[in-house]
Amino acid sequence: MGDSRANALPESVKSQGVRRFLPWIWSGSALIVMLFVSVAVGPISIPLPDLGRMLLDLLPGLQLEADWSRTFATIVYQIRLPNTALMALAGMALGGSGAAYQGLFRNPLADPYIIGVASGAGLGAVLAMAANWPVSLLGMATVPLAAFIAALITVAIVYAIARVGRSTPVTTLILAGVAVSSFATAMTSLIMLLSTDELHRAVNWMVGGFALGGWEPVLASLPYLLIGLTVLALLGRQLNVLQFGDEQARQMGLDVERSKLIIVVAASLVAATAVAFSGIIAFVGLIVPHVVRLLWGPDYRRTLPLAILVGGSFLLAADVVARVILAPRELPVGVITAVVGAPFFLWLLYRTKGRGRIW
Amino acid sequence: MRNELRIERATLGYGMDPVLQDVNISVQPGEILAIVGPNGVGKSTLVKGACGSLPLMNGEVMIGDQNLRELRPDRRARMVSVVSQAVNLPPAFCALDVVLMGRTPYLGWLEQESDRDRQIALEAMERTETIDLAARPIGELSGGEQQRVLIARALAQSTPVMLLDEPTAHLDLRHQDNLLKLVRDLAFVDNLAVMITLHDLNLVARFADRVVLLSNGRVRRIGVPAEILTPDELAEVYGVRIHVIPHPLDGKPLVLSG
Repeated sequence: MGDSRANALPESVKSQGVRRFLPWIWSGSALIVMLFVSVAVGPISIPLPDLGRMLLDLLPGLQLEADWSRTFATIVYQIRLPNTALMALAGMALGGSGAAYQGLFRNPLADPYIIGVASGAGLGAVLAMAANWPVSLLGMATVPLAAFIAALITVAIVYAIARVGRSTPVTTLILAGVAVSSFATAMTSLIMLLSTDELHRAVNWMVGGFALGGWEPVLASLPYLLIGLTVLALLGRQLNVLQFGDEQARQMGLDVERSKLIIVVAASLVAATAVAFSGIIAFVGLIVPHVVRLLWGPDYRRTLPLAILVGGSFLLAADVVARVILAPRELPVGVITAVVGAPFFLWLLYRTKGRGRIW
Repeated sequence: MRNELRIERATLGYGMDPVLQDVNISVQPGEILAIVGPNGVGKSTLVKGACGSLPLMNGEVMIGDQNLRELRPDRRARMVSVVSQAVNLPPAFCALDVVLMGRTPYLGWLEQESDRDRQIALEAMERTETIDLAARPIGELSGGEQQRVLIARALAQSTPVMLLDEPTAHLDLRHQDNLLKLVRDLAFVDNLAVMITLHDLNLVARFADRVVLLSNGRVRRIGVPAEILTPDELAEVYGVRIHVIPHPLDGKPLVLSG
């Protein structure tokens, strides 16, 4: 009997066929396009046919005749590709962790930047740098580790302060985030003032431009991001159940404490890694999940992986704008995301007024 | 009786402060047990304790020969389901997705719902007459419809025991009636053991098999509605003057204050 009725259900419920894959096709192709644009744009223009063939050459099994110039090859392989990869990874990390924090706190304004995790992770990273840890591959791995630990401590403090009874209201979460974030930023400034010689690269890094180039940071961040993003992408069903609140989630048989712990650790791991390698980039984690939800609905099984993909394209797009808008000068990408993100944040806050929640 | 719910010598509360003490209640399969008492007496606390989401300070909750304390959250949710008040629901989820979440206790960490889970969810929606709402976001549904969707979700959990916490709180007369008729069906036809908290004593008189009257942090009396819904008992517990007259149609107690 259920069968006959099931067939009578509207298309949107069955969500069969090609339509189901459309979000993936859209966000996947957007990411590929933005990766290409990001590699193509730069102060030295590389002929597109050459660029296309250089990229095709990277694919396994394809052996093209290397008739392009050596300079072009160095620029593409050693500068633009690693920079693009790092930027895409940072965007994916911020998009994914933003979606996870929003689901976890059941709060539309949660984002690694607003709840202070980014500043906390920044403080951890600067502490590690100030402690003069060597910038070897091993040393590279210690900076994100310090950022990760600091991020976890920050999220624990903010959550403890923001919590009212069994929920985290918008206002207390933002206030706690602002306070903790200011404190972490102040400490970071203090450390940078006290140790002048070693930390000039940290100054660059703080505004969202990375001082380190090449493949080293990409390879160093990859394991952290791979683990964290995979965990987040797989826990959409648990996040869905958590949207009904801890009490109901528990009554539906979810191990609430364990789910929340795993999600907060994974989200903080990827957010901290993004901060450690690409600096504090505001609002990506706020905007991207909202756009994904507006386009493709509330189901976290889709929202999370899609926010990861869209986060990558969004940050790449912001970075391209940052590089061309005042060319030949390059702006830090954080300036662009903040210019777009701050009004978006205010608009969300306005819509949230009086309702407490907006989705 | 195999799947009866038994709350034994239970003390319930938050932190170090007990709200209810020495609670002994049992609910048989096929029976509706109503919990009544003034605001703040601990009706909702009792529901949280009975489903295992609030750990007891003392005593045990048994379902059949299973002790809830010893069960993992998913195993507990296969024994007892809870219908809470339809407030603060995430409005964008469609009704079918909400009902499917009732299958959570049967899914492993990385497992997704199977066709069988889907089938069970759809049957639960047929049962609660919410199947036509399947594709609608729950935020757009009326209070009565939302409450039925939550009952469908609890049904999809396929438990022998169902607890309902003030399910009629924001409903008009007709929706109250329909909802409680559905609950009565679940007890009589599906043989569920049902424990329900209700404010409206006249609904208790019509739909409950037995009544637990809570007062001052304890169970004051347990009995059939005609025994409990008396002016003497109620006046003392609620602190107002109470009149009880027979219902003009079926003679069941009709409770009036003033």
